[in-house]
Amino acid sequence: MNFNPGLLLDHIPTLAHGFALTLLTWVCGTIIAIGLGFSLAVLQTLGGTFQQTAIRIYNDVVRGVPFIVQLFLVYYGGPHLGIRGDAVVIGTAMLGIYGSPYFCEVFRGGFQSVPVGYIEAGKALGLRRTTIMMRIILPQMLVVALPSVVNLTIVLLKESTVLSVITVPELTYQVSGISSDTFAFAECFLILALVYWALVEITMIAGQRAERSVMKFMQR
Amino acid sequence: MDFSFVFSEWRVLLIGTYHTILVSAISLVLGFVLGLLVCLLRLSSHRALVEIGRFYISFFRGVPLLVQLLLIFYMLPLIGVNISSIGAAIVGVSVVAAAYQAEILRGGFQAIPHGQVEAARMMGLSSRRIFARILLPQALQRVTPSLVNDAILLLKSSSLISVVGVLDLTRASQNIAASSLRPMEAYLDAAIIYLFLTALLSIAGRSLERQLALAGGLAR
Repeated sequence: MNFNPGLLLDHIPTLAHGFALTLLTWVCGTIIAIGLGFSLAVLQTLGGTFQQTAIRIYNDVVRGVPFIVQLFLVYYGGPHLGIRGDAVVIGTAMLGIYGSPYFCEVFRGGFQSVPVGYIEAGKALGLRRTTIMMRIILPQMLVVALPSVVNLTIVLLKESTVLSVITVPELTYQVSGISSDTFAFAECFLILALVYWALVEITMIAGQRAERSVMKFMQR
Repeated sequence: MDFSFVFSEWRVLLIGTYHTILVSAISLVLGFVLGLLVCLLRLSSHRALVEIGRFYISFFRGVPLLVQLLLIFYMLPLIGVNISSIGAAIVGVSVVAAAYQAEILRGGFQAIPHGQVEAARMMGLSSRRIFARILLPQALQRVTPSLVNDAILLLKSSSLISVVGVLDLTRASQNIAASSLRPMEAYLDAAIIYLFLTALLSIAGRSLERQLALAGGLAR
């Protein structure tokens, strides 16, 4: 077995393009997931029984079906219902939808962790509802939610590899293509694994830094 | 929508479901055994062993399962190991499951007050007996909810073995979608079966938790 990772150097432009698309789908997917998850959490916390039940069903369904099946369902089944789009757009949107129930649960837990007394105190002081939300509930909730948010961000990075199966030309897709062209499977996939590992470690370290600075802010 | 063709293809779906359950179940058990070993490495007092455990957990949790499967699928033949694609899939899912279960188990072991071990040592119990009679049962009881959660994630992530050519539920629905030209219905079937399986697991998990709580009287 001869091992020659140098042969990947010939494909740097393709790899850079794939890497950029991995970052793009990951970041956009995570932003969509956080936005959607947050809205669902607010609706679930403030809404009535109907909203709560509807969101619970949405969460259970999205979390109960593998991401790859959801992708196939929407990307290949969607055109029958009039849902058509570029693989990148559909893939990113689906990544956001897939992540949303997990973020919803995290934010809901965050909302519940804020003591009712704080909100009552805010009301007693005559603060407006938006002020109570922005100045009392949100900051405390975000501190509680931050570690889980970092974890979920990492989960979504790893799930973004699955987009390669619906032909989104991200890093995994490009490396698979190069590996079958050059037959250098071991080199290609080993380096691919190392790249993802490094990305995950970097995200984790950044998350720990953020947690530390938030804790400092809270103690002031 | 027309689901009638699905009934003529039920045999393929059944085989797919069988393989999904088979790979998930075997990987769960193998992952648990391997995970317990990795967890013991991580908790040992030997510095080098701790580092090996830490490396294992970091690598196998950091690299996306899809990349891991591709790596194992193409690497094993290169280093002279020839196993079927289903064997490679079981190896891939198990080693990743082990990393997650090791972390879960570590949490369980660390939650046990150290005074219990000291008391047992005072009473003259051997280290093996302390582990088997005091530490392991309590740790298992504590981590059962997390392990069930992990089993659900494992069942869902097993859908990725379809990419390396195992005829699991996802692959079966892909085949049906291709032959019937009805992707919407085919993937909906897979989604419903996955949803059913994950719901079943979470119901089983909840009743298991109740029984454990009754049997052990674990104070919350």
